[in-house]
Amino acid sequence: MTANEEELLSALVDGELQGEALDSAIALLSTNEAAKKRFQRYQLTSNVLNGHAIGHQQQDMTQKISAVIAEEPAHSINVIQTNEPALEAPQTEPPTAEVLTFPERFWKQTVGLAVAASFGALAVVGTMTQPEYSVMPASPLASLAAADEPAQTAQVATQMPQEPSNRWTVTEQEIEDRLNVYLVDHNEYAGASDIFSNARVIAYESGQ
Amino acid sequence: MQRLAQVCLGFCLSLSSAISTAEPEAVALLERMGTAAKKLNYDGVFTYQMGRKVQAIRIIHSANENGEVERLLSLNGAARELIRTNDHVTCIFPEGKRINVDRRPLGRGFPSDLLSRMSSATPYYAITMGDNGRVANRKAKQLVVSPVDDYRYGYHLWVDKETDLLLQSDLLTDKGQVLESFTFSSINLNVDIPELALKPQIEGQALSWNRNQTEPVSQRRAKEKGLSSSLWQVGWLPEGFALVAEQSRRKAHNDKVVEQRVYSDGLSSVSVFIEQKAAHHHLEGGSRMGAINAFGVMEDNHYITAVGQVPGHTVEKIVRSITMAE
Repeated sequence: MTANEEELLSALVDGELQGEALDSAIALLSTNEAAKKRFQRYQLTSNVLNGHAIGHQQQDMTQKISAVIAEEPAHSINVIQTNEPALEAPQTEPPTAEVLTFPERFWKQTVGLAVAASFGALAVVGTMTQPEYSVMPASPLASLAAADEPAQTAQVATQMPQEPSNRWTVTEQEIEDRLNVYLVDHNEYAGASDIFSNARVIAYESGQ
Repeated sequence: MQRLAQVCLGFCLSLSSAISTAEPEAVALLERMGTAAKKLNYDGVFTYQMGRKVQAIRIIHSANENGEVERLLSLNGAARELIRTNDHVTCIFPEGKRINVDRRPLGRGFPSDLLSRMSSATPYYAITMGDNGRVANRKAKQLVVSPVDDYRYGYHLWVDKETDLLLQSDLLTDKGQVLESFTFSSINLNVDIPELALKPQIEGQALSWNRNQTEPVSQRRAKEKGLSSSLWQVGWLPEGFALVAEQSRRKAHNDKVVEQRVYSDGLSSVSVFIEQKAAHHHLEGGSRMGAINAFGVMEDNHYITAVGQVPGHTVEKIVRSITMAE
C-alpha cells in the first residue's frame, strides 16, 4: 500500500472524506485485500478508543457491558405505581462510566495506536481520563474560531454526562425491534435538530 | 392551597423570564434554520457523538420543486444507509441482512408546520443569541435554547451565517451537560447533487428484503390543537405541548392497528404509540437510547409507548396519564 492510500483509509475512519475521495476509498476497500485489513485495524483502534468492546475476543466483555447497561437504574423501570411523587423523581444518571477499568499502560498503548485519531476520537480519549464527566470543548468552534473573530468567540467547555448507550436498554429483541420502528416513525418530528435525527438510526449499535 | 399558589407564581415568573429572553433576532434565526434544512442542497460529513461513542456519517441532501431526498451513509463501523424521500424512509442494514421500508407517517405535508411550531416554542424556552465561531470551516452563530422546566432538554445550536443551515447541535441536560452532539466536520453547500449520489450503494450481499410497509387506515392532521379522534385520552402533557399530528396504520404482518399521536411544544416532540397486544413482549418501564427516551405500559390489552427527545420522567408521566376514554 502506498502512503497516500494509508492516509485515505485513515481519513475514511475519521469520517473526513467526501465526494471523489470517498468514492476512491470505497473502491480501494472493495478491490484491495491489504487495504481492507488495514482499514479494519484502523477501525479496531477507533472502536477501542471509543470504548467499544469488539471482536470475538471481547465478546464476554461486551455481554457484561450489555448486562450492566440493562441493569442501570433507568428512570422508572421498577417504579411502583404510586401517584405524582414517583413521577417527579429526578432522572437517575446511569453510573456506567466506571464499568471498564483497564490498566493505565493499556491506555498508553492504545493511544499510541491512534493513527487515525480525529478531533472526535481525541475528545473520546479525553473522556476516558475523567472519572465522572468527560470535559470536552463545547464544539470544535472553540479551537477553530480564533482566526476569524477572536474577540467574540467563546472558549466554552461543556460536560458530557456519564456514558449513555446508543442501543435501547432492553433485553428482548422483539421489544428492541418495535422501539426501532417507533424511532423511525418519530424521527419525522424530531424538532430542533431535525436534519440530524436519522443519524441515530444509522449509528444504532448492531447486535453484539 | 398556599403551596399551589407558590407553584403557580414560580411558574409565571419563570415563564415571563423566558419570554423576556426570547430575543426576536434569535427566534427569527431559529425559524430560518428550520427552513434552510429543507430547502438547501448540501453534501457533508458530520459526527454524531454520544458519550464515548462517535459515529461519522455522510449526508447528501437534495431539494427541488418535487421535494426532498436525503441519503445518510455511515463512514465507520457497519456500512449502513438511510434514504429519506418525500414518502418513504429506507434503512439498509447489511449486517442484519434486512431492509425496512417505512412509509413516512404524514408524507410531505408536515414540514410546512415547522415555522409555526417553532414560534409556539418561545414561551417555554429562553432563546438567545450566543457567540460567533466556526464549524466545518464556516462562520457560524450560536443559538442558546434553555427550557423553562425540566420536562425538556436545552440546545446549543450553531447556525451557518451565510445560509442559516444548522451546523452543530448540542443537546443539553438540565445540568448543562452535553448529552448528544451532532457536528459537521465538512460540508459543501448549494452544490448540484447528481441523482446517482442519492442511490444506495450497499450491494453485493444476499439481502433479505423485509418490506415493513403498512397501510394507513386513517390519516389526518389535528386541525385544532389538543383534539384527537382517538379512543385514548392523554391526561397530562408538559406545558406548551399540543397535539400536532396523528395517524393510525395497520401492520402488514399481523393486521393490528398502530396509532401514533405526536405532541410538540415547537422544539421538542413526543410520539405516543398505541397498539393492540399481539406480541409476547413489550416494553414495561423505561428505556433509553442516547437522548431518546421511551416508556411503555400495557393497559386494556393495548401496548402504550411514548418515545421522544425529552427526559425520561417526561415520557413516563405522559404514558401514566393515558386512559381509555369512557
